[in-house]
Amino acid sequence: MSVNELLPLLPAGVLVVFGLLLLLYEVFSNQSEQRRYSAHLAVLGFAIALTVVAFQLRDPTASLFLGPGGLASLVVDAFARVAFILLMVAGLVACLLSPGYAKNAGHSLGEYYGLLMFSVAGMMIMVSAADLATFFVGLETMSVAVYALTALRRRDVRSTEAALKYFLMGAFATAFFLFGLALVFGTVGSLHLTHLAEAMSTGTTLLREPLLHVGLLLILVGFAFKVAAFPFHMWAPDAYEGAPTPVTGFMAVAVKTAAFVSLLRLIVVGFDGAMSSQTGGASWTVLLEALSISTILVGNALALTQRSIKRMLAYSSVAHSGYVFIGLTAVAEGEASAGAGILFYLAAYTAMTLGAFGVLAYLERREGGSEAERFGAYAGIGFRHPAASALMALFVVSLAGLPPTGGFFGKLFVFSAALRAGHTGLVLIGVLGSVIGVYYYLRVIVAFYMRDVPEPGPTPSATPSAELGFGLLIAAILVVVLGVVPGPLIELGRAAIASLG
Amino acid sequence: MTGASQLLAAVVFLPLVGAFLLMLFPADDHRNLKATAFGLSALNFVLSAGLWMSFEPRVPGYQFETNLAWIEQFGIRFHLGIDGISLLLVLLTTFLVPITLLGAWTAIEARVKEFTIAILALETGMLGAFVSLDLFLFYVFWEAMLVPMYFLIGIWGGQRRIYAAIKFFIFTMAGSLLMLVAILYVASQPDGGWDFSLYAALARSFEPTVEPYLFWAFAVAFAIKVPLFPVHTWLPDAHVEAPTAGSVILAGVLLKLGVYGFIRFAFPMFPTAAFAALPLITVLSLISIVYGALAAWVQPDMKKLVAYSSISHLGFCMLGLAAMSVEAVTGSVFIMLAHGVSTGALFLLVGVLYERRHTRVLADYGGIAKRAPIFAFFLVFMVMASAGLPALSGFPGEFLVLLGTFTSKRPMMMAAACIAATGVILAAVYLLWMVHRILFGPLQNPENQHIKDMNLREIAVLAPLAVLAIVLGVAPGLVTDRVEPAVEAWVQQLHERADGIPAYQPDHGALAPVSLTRSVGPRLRRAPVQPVRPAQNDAQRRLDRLFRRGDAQGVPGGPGQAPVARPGVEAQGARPVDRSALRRPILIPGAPAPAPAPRSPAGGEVN
Repeated sequence: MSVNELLPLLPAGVLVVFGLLLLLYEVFSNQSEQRRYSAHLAVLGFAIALTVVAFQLRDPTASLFLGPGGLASLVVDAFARVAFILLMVAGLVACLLSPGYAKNAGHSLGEYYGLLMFSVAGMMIMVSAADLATFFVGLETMSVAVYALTALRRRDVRSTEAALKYFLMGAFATAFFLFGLALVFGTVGSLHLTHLAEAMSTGTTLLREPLLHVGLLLILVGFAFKVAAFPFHMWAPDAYEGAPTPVTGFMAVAVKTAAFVSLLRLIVVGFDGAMSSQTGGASWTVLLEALSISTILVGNALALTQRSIKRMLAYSSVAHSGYVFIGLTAVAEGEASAGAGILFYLAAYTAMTLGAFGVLAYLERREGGSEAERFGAYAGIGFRHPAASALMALFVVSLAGLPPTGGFFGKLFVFSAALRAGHTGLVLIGVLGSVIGVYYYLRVIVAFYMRDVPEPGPTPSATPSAELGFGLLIAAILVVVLGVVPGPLIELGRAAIASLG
Repeated sequence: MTGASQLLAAVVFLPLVGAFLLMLFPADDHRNLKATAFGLSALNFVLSAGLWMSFEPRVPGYQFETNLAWIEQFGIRFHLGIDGISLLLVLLTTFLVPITLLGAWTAIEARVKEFTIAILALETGMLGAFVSLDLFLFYVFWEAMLVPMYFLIGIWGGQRRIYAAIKFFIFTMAGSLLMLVAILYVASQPDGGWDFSLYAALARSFEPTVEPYLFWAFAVAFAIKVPLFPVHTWLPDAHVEAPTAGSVILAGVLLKLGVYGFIRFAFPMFPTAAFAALPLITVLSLISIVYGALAAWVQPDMKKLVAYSSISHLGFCMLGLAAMSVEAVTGSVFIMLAHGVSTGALFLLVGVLYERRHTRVLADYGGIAKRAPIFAFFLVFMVMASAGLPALSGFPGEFLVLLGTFTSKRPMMMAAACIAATGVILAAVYLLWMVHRILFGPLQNPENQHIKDMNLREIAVLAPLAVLAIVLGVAPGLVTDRVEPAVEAWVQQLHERADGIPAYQPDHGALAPVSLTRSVGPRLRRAPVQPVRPAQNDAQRRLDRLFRRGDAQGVPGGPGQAPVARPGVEAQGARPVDRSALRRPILIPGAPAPAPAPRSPAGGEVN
């Protein structure tokens, strides 16, 4: 195996190298003013890796680490590359949001950016893995790094609690996932997606094997945990609330994107139509449907009652997982356009959620203290920080799914594909959820703009960080561009789904 | 794309560009912000007057079309165009916005920058919704309009503004999301592609089992906006809490979008279901008329009174649609304009009082005429216009609706007209009662002793509305000339395309002698009305019908049996082809639909 064959993995390599560099940089710079460049180094790493992916985007599918039978463990195809872009944009924006927040919270650690880059590298393994064992390696790389990121505010009780909860629940999920892998291996005799597909499509006797279904169910549970789908969502609000706000944004988008994209690959490649009702896989579609409905309803209902904006966003991100599951249900029914819709949805979701958490990170810092998480604390902010508030309004309007924003088109593409696949009832549930969502997203705007302004707060002392402004700007531009010219991205998504074969 | 169609796009987007421009202004430069916003919207009115000039009144169908690709993968196009109905609504919008801005000159003192930006963004949303010929584009404008209005109510509103703003938003959003699902269903083509254009939607026919659901998904969204009786509850709250500017635009333009949606989308796209729904719509609009009037009568708050009167007036619009005759529908469109003028003016007048006394409770006033004669003049004048006094704007529309309803061929419409007529009487009662309580009687409240009369700016705001009220009242032909060709084609096509509905007969029977229509406007009954449907055309269509039934069943069926005998019910695959070949094509120049069919060549232009 020559080095050239590894070139498709170069983006992940760049991230790992920069991650290691950051760790070294941390060791050799004992002055905190030297450390402030670690964010820039991380952003540089992401930018280089993104450029590499952009150049490789039209490359043919690359199969790496061939195993027995000539089957690759990693497949870097257009699908994986589109996912790379999504994940790295999320990482890049998260890095931009961090320095200002970190300086304020007093934890400007180089490890922070290193961990962020390692976790993205793990996600990239996840989304390109062609067998479940390799996938598991990527999953753990990502998870361990994110656990550490959650715990970063280690003197903060809530951060510690959040990290512990996230870690324990994550360990459970990993155990479920591993157990599922064992059962699948026991029945199919391989963990490779191609073998799984063969077993599902030809071996009807295998399909009747209960252990295979139990195994797949456990794997699905592992995924459901990572995307915070009901009833495996309990960790999400606490972890989101406790984690440093930029990390929360990163967790909410990147972890979810990685999990959904690899689940998409699993369903399209590994199940190969075995989930659709024609091949007797109706129970699986029903399962996905149930997961989707319950996640939408529970996520929205709980978001409705929250008093803290951060928790509200956490529960609403649970609801967003439910909308993506609508698309997955359609994919399982063989509606390929839903796959492109899911990729688009995840892109829009990445931009708007990171943006919303970014504004919170900015305002939390400016207004000071943890009090600022309550809706009431934001009264009148709209006119004291007009630019940040206008961006927040844009992001929540997009989250609520109003045109002309990316969030609207994301929902549109997913719902229309589901309608095509005949899931009218599911779409109506999604619409109902969106109406509920409108209410609690509007509460943010109400708090920012419409509540009576209390006494003017202490005048902000710190100047806003340029990096943060830049990160918010990227997110806002993405939200608007996806909402006005969604064509190119949906085209890219289609090409990506087509590359799955 | 011709110059006129570029003008149309310019009219739609100029306010939005202006809104972006205003973002660059310093926030405390109130005077320049207001002046720029006013200037831009006035300029937009001038531009839209250009549309009026170059509009061809006699052509039924869309003019000034712009049709560009937007999201090709989904068959979504940027497709604008206007017919007589939308032309007038566009003009109403561009006319009311500068008046609103001028009217709010002193009422809005805080957050002026955000206010002007919201109004201009709102204008683009409203105009876009009126001129979109692509379902998707329409939906985008329809939703985009919500956010600025929400801000208008929520930021500059009264005590319970947040409740009112959220209620407004949720009501509208719930309806429009249902509509979105229906739009997706309609746009999803049988061959697997997508086409969101209105033409494609009109050329399609839907399963009889699905069509009612689709119709109601649209109808509920529009009924909420109108608002029709059971879903009207957001309106009084929104009006009472909204600032004057918000109320004027809400009543003047936003409500019309509901009626417009019925005319442009819900009825033509699902004609069979629409006809089946007419009795229910009739009943609901009658309830709206009478209930709105009764509720207005007992309101202690004058703004709420005007709000309920809007429900009553918009009930007339919906009744006109339900009557489904050319006169009645023309009357509906006329009421939309007249109501925009008179109710907009009434809200402005309420605002004038409120700015001085900061109360809207009727009991706090009395004898104001003694101190503020100019105000009294405008209030009485506008109340008369609103109550439908002949020679003022309120009269022709209500008259046409009542006439059209009374002579409608649909069952029970005569009774409906009689019930609706009580609404006219009640309107006079509650409006005059309001005038009496505000203007006349003894000047008891000492705080009213030194109330100031209207200043020059306020007169300048109200005067154009008063002039327009007279113009609409004495020369309704200005409006009806442009509206009627569009309405004519609309009514006829609806009758033809609906299953089991006999063709529309434009004769008026003994109940509508020529003298009556003449009093409305000499040019009302003129023009392409007859030529569009010459006699031989009727014969042709009857042949078609006969042929269609014979082809399917070999049994000629009566009109009542028609739905059962449709070929599509049995043989689904053949149906769209079958219908599109036989159905009268839609009278839209340049449409990708089948070419204009058996129209007599001599018929088009002769008078």
